[in-house]
Amino acid sequence: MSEKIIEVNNLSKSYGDHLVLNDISFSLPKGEIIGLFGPNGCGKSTLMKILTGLIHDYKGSVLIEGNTPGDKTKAITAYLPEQTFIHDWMRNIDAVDYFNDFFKDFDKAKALEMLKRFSLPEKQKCKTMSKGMQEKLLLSLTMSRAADLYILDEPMGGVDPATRDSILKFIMENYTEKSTMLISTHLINDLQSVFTHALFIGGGKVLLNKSAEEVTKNGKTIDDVFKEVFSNVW
Amino acid sequence: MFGKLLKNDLKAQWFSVSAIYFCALIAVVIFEIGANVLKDDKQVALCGGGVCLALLIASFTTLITVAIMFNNTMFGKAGYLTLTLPVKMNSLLASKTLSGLIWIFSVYALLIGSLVLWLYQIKVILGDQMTDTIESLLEIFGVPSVKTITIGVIIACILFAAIILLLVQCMYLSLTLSQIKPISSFGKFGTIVLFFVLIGSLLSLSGTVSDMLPINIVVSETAILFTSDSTVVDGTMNFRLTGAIFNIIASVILQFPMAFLINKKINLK
Repeated sequence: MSEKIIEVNNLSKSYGDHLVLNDISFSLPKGEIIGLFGPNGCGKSTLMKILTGLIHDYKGSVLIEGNTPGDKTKAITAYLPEQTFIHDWMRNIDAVDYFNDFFKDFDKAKALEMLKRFSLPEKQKCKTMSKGMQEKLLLSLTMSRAADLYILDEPMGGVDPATRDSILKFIMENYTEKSTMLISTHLINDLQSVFTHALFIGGGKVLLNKSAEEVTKNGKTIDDVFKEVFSNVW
Repeated sequence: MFGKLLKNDLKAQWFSVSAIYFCALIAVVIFEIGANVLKDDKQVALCGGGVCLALLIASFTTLITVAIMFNNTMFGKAGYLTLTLPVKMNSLLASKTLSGLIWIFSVYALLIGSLVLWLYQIKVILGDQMTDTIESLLEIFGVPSVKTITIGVIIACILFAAIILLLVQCMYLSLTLSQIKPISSFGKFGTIVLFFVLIGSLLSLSGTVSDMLPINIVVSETAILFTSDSTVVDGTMNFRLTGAIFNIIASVILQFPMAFLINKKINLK
């Protein structure tokens, strides 16, 4: 059995009376590109925030490389949230320097190369850029880390289809077998070729946790299986 | 890592407070030019008052800006970056406190400097008779030497910095507590009330502790002495130390519940 990077046991999280994650347990293998799928509001972002240590009031246990989310796991996890998280004062070069200051696994040369590739001027203020440009910047920063675990929440949500391809290519170029990627997306069709593992959550439960090979063994695509699974749930 | 945190916090806060400093600088320049152009002494003194007013507004605005920056970088969208840094929460908070203290103290130092200049200008309005009266009073109490006054000003600045430190921590704690129910349901109003309750209680406690356990620093021409005697001797300057010690200890202690709440109770929205 392959080594596990994430182990979740009896995890529950609710917002008021609304139970988003209901006593879920699963583990995810190391060195895979894992697609996290589910309909809107099913708890994908919540799960990612729990994994990155941004949500604390959950029940159950969550382990990344054997540690609960905290300083140790933050050092090995590169997180790309849905929101633009760059401070207002930062120019692109300031954001690169900021990451370089705090993350030991950050490759500044690679990040600067990425800025050039995405045509992002070093001196431009981040807040003056379009959403698509900001997403490219955030992705450049996140992927310039040599992290053990990448958690990408809707990495291509706000970009045009042409840019999507270039981002996808970029993600694949920067993926090493040592690393694990957990990517949540609604763009299953665009990304399904890269996933080696799939995790479906819905109705507060884990509905599927299998390798992409197993999911697609009957000639179906991940998208087909997604539609099948969720047509039964909702 | 603390050095890097501090460097980035100072840079981030400079981005916001530089605009305030710039506006205050323009106001100071305008008033000072006015003071030099005007012939009437009263108008000159009014210009000095204008400088102080501009810096007073700047100091208040800096305080608010530091609070907003803390809120945005810890609990706003920028929190996604700040709170995923592989650093200890106590280091993160200490850096924000120290950088806030530096900017707020700087603007207050400018304000105090301007007040001194203004008092010098206001002597003109008071006239010779009033100036003579003040000088006579100073002679009665004993005027400290320039060296004593210099050391006294340094000590006063340190004691004042201790008050600002407590002020910053109370501000940060109020903002942190206002992320938690039921305080969060009162919104900004709840945060402001909480801040005044916190700072009021702690300053009053600080005063009580000072009365119960008086430790004073007496600065004279020849020595700096620690004593429990509050009697002011001619030619010396006397400062109450207990309150400042209390303020520093309280500020350090306040950081722990803040770190606990952010680490264990507060979720990033």
